[in-house]
Amino acid sequence: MRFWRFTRGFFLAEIREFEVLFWSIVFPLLLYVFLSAVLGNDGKPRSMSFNLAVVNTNPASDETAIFNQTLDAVSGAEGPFKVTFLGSSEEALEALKTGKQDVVAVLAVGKITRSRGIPISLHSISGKESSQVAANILELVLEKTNLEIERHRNPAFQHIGMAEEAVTVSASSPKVAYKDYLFPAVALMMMLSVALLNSPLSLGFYRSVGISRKIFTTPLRPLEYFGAHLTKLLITMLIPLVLLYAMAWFIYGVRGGIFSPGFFLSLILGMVTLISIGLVIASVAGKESSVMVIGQTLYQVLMFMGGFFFPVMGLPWSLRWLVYVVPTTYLVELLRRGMGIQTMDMATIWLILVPLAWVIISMSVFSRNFSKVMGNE
Amino acid sequence: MNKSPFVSLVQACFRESLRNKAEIFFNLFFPLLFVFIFGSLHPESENYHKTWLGFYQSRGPDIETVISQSGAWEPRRYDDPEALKDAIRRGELNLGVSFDGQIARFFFKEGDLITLSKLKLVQLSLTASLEKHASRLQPMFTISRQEESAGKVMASGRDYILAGIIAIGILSVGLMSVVTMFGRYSKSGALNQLKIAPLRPMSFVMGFTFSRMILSFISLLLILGVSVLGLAASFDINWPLLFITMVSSTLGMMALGLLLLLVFRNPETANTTAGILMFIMHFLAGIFFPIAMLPGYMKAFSALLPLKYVSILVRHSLGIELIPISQFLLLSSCLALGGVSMLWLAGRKFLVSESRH
Amino acid sequence: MSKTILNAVNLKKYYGSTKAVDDVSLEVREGEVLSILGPNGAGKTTTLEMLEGLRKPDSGTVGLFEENWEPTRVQVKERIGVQLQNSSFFRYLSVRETLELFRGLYSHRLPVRDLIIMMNLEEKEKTLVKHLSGGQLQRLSLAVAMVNDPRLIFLDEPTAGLDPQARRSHWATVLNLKKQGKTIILTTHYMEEAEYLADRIIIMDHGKVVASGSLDDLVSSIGAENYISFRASGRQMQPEQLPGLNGIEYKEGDGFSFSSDDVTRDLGALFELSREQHFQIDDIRIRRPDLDDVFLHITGRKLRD
Repeated sequence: MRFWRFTRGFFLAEIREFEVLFWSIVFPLLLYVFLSAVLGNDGKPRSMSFNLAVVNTNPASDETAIFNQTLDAVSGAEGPFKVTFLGSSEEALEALKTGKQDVVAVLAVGKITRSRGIPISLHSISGKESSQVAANILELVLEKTNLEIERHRNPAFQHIGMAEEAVTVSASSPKVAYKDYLFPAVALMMMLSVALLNSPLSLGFYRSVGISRKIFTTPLRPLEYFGAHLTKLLITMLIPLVLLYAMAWFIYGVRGGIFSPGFFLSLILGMVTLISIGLVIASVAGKESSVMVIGQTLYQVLMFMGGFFFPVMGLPWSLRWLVYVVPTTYLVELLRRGMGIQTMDMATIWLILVPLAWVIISMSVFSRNFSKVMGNE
Repeated sequence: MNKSPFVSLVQACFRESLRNKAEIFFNLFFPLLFVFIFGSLHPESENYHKTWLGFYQSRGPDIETVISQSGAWEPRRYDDPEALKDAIRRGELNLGVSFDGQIARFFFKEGDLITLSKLKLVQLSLTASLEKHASRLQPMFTISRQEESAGKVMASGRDYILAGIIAIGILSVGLMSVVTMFGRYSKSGALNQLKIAPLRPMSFVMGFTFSRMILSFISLLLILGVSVLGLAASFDINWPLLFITMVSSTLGMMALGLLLLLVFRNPETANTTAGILMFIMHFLAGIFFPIAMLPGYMKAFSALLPLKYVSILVRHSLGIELIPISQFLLLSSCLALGGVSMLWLAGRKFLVSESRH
Repeated sequence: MSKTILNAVNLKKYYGSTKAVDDVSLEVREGEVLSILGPNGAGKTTTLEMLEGLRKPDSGTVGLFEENWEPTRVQVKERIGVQLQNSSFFRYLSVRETLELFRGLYSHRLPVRDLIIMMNLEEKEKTLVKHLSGGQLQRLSLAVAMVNDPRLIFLDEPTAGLDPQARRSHWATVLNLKKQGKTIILTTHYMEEAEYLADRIIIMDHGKVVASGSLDDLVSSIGAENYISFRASGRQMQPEQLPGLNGIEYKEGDGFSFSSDDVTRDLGALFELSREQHFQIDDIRIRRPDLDDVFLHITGRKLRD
């Protein structure tokens, strides 16, 4: 009873801090909303909007009419392009370089013939993603139009069929959207924030201001204090997780096994692994500032190198070794496999063993420094 | 010889910053972490394997030539479809195609949504090329791509991101360090000590500001150094303009930090709000995601974010994307004026008035 | 005769080559108030923390209560109350919640309402800890130390940083606890506090016990019944020019002072000297020796230095 009474007060004392509430609970949910909105298009241009400048000083012909019809289809209320007709290439390129236009299409003058077609040069700004994407979309649209026209007008047209196949070993291959891909990553991010930052910061803070010393003058044992700390962390992780589940299920329609026992067990493994790493930070970092430095650095590295938001297996080996070392790579893959998504060619056993190895090593380090971390000489 | 109050303050503030390891880390070295991560993760990084397109061909027109001629991919032959799929599973390739003369079957890794987003384009352009090759047909539209430079150099996507990280570094020094340092001084009573000294408020804020400028400049040099020497970024640096950018942007970001401190009495609340703003600006200022790709309601909001304008100034100074000099001067002036005004106001508020409770 | 409630023998604590506590022994009887007095850095807090079980001595033993338990035992923690030097609690809990939290850790506990009334915290019952003033925080700290109605209470610099009124209020509370039969061990560097509260005083300096006993015993030990102090004006005087005055010394700002076991005789000698040496006597005072004088006598330094 003593333990639960203490844990309750301990938890209340932390959750009432706005910073804890925001960064542990609110922020990951906002990130999920944001990333789903921005990257959840799956390449579809439905919500994008680009400025397209067209330079066509050729006289009207059947070919240019087809081109104009193609433009009509991709502009207006439904299309991603806002089309402006300009009088010269120089004017259009100037507008492109000054950012007024995202892509410029220049129809070659005097070179349009029935046999030759319409030479169109698409100009985009090197390296500028909005310009590149706009040019890619326009090129895609024009290529599609090409194929359609050729199919209709030429009986000798050799049609090449297209098919696609996802390479995976999972029995079911669900249609994966970015929001599904993202769900395990956001769940782990919530845990990362609590484990790598909240946990060592609160241990260090209570130690430095003397609260833990005060507690050690009471009958509460150091292990009970530690147990209360862990319980508090788990509750702080569970609350946003429940909210994430609700958001994912009801708003984003995420499915695919997120309620399966395997998925829950993977979440538990994730919590244990990340909490243990946080305890190592508390062991090695004496001051609050050191905790922030180490915690934030690890947070970013574990997040990006773990492949949370985009695949990392294409990194050069000078960095790829890090992908194999960090436990988040395995944790996020394990969770994704629980949803039927596989992105790594690795046996599932390794996805469990590597994080467990991290737990064992971390807890060994922490246990040697237990008294120092808990503030009890 | 007695030092002027300004010099004393600059020295004191700067020494304090240098001795605060956490501040040094977050202002100077933390942005470098992003340089390494995003510089390496970007597809245009050297040795990034994304440009290989694996293929297996049993019959039909030569697909290897078609792939090579596309200019976007480097072909890699596999002896059978299973070997091709294994290569994708292992991460050697992101995309593969098996062609039997009739059907082009494209393979990609389940969950690789980045490749999936480009798949349609690859499919269409490759099959169109194959059809053209096989049927010797003339398409309606003959498309050629032309890369243009918006600045003095032919920048890559990575250059844009690195410029954005420089802007973030300036934001961090300006906004976050002002909020934490000023907030800390206010809470600890150090500002009260200065209040009772015969010190003009503007002297204090200028001394404080100058120390931030030095930090900002060091941060800038570090990021530039790593970008150019380590990641072969193609910048054409206009040093005078870069200096103006650094000064005006740091002032502008400091203004934002001071505004937060004035609005929120509690330095911890100001700190948290600054952190939230940093997060919003990271994502909505067009650094990691183009603004054009944001949903409509987010696009409108991004126009209000100062980081967007800092990024524009940085890109101009690095020769990546030029803007008219009048626009450059206008933006710089607005940021600088905003900064100076807020600093003046903060000086009066923190160093002249009584308790803020 | 009251029984021994705490017995510490030959306690030592080193930090590197520094002897923070160097062979300290003490015995505390039930119901008494023992004050450990000394300047900053004397080793008072380190000694107290070893008695509380927060610090492990490098050598020596501590035994508490009749069973002579080590201070780290749970049975001891159930029976002691501790007010630490830096009072710190969870900032986002209220006064009531803090008391509920800590009393929940003990088997035997006083009602929260009684504790709040005892420490005059009624108005602040629902106030968050982060909004409490220094004095209110100290009262809360003492209330937390009392949640289990302890037999033995440790107070580490209980009035440090408090204004005189708050300090006196705290003293009144401590005396009240003593009336209830509590045994109190407190550390302080305020001489007045030790004089006012303590039945027995231990004086520490550089990790060692340099004197111990009741206030009267300590004062008597220096052999001076009174101290006479004065200022000399009209002429610059040095102590050597004032022979016959026992232990005459001069301190800038304080003037001259000397000890006396016969005030009438020594005052007469002083007036005679003033006529002979042609100086005026100003601001003459006669006082009894205090702990500062005891400390000066033993160590050659003032307690306040």
